[in-house]
Amino acid sequence: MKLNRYAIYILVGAIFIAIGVFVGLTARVFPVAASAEAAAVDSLFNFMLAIAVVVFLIVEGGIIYSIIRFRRRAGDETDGAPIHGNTALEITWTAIPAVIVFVLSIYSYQVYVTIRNPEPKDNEVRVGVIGQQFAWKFTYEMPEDDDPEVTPEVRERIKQYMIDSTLYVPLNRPVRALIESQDVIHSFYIPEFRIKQDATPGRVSEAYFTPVQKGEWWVVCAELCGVGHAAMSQINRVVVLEQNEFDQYIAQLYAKAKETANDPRSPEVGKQLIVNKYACGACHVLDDAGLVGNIGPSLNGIATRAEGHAERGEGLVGGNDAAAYIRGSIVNPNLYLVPGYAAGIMPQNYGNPNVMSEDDLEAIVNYLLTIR
Amino acid sequence: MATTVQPRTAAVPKPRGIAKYFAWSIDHKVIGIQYIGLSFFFFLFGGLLAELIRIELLTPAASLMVDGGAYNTLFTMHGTIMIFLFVVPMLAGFGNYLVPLMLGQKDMAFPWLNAFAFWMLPPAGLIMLAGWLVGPAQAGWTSYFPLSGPQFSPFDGQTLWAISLHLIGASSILGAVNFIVTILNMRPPGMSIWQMPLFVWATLATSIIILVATPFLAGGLTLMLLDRLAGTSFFSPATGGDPLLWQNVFWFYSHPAVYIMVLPAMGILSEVLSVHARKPVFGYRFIALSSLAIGFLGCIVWGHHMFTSLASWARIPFMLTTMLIAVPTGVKMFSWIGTLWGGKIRFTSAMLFALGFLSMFVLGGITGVFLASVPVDIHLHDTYFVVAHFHFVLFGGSVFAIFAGLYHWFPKMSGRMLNERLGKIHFALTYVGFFLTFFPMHFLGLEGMPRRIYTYDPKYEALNALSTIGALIMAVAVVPFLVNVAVSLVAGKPAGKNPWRALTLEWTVSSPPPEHNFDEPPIPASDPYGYGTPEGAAYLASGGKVALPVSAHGHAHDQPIERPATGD
Repeated sequence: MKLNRYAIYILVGAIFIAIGVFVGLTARVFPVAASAEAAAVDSLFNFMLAIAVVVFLIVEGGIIYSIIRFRRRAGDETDGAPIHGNTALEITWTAIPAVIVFVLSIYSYQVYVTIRNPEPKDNEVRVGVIGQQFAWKFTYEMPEDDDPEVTPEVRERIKQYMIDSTLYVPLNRPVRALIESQDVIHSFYIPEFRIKQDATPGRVSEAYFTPVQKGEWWVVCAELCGVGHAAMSQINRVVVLEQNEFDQYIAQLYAKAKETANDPRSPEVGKQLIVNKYACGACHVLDDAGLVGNIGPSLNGIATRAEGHAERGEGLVGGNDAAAYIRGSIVNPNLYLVPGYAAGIMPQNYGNPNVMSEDDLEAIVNYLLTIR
Repeated sequence: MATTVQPRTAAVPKPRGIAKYFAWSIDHKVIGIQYIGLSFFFFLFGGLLAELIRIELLTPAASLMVDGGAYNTLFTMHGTIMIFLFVVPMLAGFGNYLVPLMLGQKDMAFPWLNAFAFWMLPPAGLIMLAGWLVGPAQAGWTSYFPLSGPQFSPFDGQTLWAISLHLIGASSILGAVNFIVTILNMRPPGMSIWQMPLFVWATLATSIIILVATPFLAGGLTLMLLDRLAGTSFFSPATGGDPLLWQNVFWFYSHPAVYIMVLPAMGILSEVLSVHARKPVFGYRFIALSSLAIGFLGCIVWGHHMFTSLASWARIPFMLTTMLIAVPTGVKMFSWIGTLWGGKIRFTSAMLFALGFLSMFVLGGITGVFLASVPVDIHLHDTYFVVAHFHFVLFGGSVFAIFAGLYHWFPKMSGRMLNERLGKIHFALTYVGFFLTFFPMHFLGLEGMPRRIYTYDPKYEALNALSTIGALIMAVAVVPFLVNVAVSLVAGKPAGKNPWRALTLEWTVSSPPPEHNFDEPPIPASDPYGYGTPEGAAYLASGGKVALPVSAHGHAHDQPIERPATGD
């Protein structure tokens, strides 16, 4: 009788373990694994899943078996058996979970050590990631340039235009992302790469990944960052390119940046800045530049409206023309609120030249003055 | 203080009937029901906010909300209200009502302090709700800086939020002091610490956590208020502060707060399972000690909420401590199944909700281990997987236990039984609705859907729709419960002293108990869970007048599980 009972326990246990192993081997619950790190994380997850399924089945099985086998039968007014415990059993079910979490900790630690990759590698690509309300922007390292006119100062000027609203990374090369925020905390998250790192203002954080699959995915913001938090997860893309495509992209970006550095206040530059560097499209509509945001007021016809405000002399600081109105709306948005829109949503720090240079501000104003 | 209070309460005519629950009272039973009533109101209100959230999320595009700010307010207030104005005070209500009765006392150690602690809550609730009048908080219940700072949250609702939590925290600390003093000093003769009901054990462990952790919330909120109102800069990086300081201080309270919300629920569960399975609690000491172990570990795991912001070396120790919590939690789960094993299970509504806890909480526990693992958490952090996880813990756990407790002790509190048929409908709808709402969220999170968004990638639509349907079922589920309470209060079957034939002391007095609780010093059963033992049977037969000396309890513990029921 006793033997039979234990035989049944062992059989049920074997079935549960078989189900757990099967689920662990076959479950595909993640998005595509597009980075080298993703594969390691997925294996760890599926290993944990196999154990979790066994534990789940034991517990739920125990509950279901108990409520069927030990249900009170009609008319039975007696109590159950006065079993107060069983020390050996209690020590067992304390020890086994302890061993399981010990194993999981070691395995997790090993995976973490392989994916966090703190040592710089020779062939790594460094990209800058900047979070702002409510978009990501990405900066790139400049390629070598033997043009004698490109002095260190010129290079410094070009550098500020090596920025884009899309994250391009080369296939099969380790990428080190240096992550910052301009305002509140954001969290840089690419589900397909299984990486996430908070962008905390006041410090530079790092994330590492090695893309192993060509494709294009969302760069998500995982930390609540304000009114436009939801929109921020569907604005920026990450694009994995072949090495030669990536080199080509960098060369183009650099060429454009060099051109911009020559005439930094032109309306054309302003348009690019609005689209790529300052991500105005996260919140504003502007047909001319293809911006489709719906958080802030529309910028269509902004020049005409600015002239109207200027003629009526409404709330202008530092000048009495349309340019002053537009400039004021950018550097001090709370003073120039469009009716129906709340204060405190548009970034308040565009008056800070470290955030928006005087050149950039002029270029943007010059561009917006063309939007009639 | 006692000398001034005595004559005053004697002089004023006491309100009677329902009115006494709206007036100052130092009777722990009145206060307990005040806590329960107030927090249940906030449960309904917070639930309404949750329904609005789920309706918004039915489709990927914005449907109800004018902008993200309105939505951010919804989940900020939903989370804050459910945690601080529902679960925490609800469980404090159970503690207030039950602990003195279970210990055979007339009242808590400090009755006046007890009333004072409760009366901090209604103003706290009003201040929280007043946020809507001045521009409500919308930085999430975690209120991370700098988003919650003066620059990015210029509306006064954020300040009111902090003031309200300050009051609730102070109330919580006062309650904890009262429980600790009561439990350690006011046990009746014949009840050692190892014979206390497990709910009392859980309340003791919870109170210790509150006393250790809640002052950190108070400190953090004080700094937040200074940053917002006095121009200091503790947390704002633009002026030299550190936003991670807020995260550390906040989670040093708010992780233990999870156990403040779960341990008393686990205490309720031990009581309900044992009584309705007619079987002693399996492994009493392991359950009691695991509460303390969870309380201790719970205070050193806060960093796991910061796996994507902490320095990478600091993530490892928090992973280890977090993993360890699975051990005492597992002990409780297995011990409860051991309690069912060999019992005579009665499927009362209370028992159904307790079984609901067992079957759902286990999932919350298991997903907790996934989130403890740093590499896995990096992917899942701040996704819907986390939302699923903590709702399995706090709804599948705490809320199911709260309903189990309400069905179990309603007869004691009101003197009348709840209708079992309505109770079962309530349970079935809640169980199905709950599972449908929160189970799909695991897969949304694994796919990478972030939390706290009101528009989302259309690929997540199908699972979100399922989840919304579940939430609507849960909304319907409340109706039979409300009807049940209303009807049963008036026309329910009289409960008598001890409708469940339970062995703890609250069941030896009339239902509802007289104001002074016990006419004469009660004699506790030698084993509060001695179902099926001769001692237990004799105690029940005598109506709690005869407690045989401990015989079975001490050594039966070491007998094998197949031991025959006849005893020695």
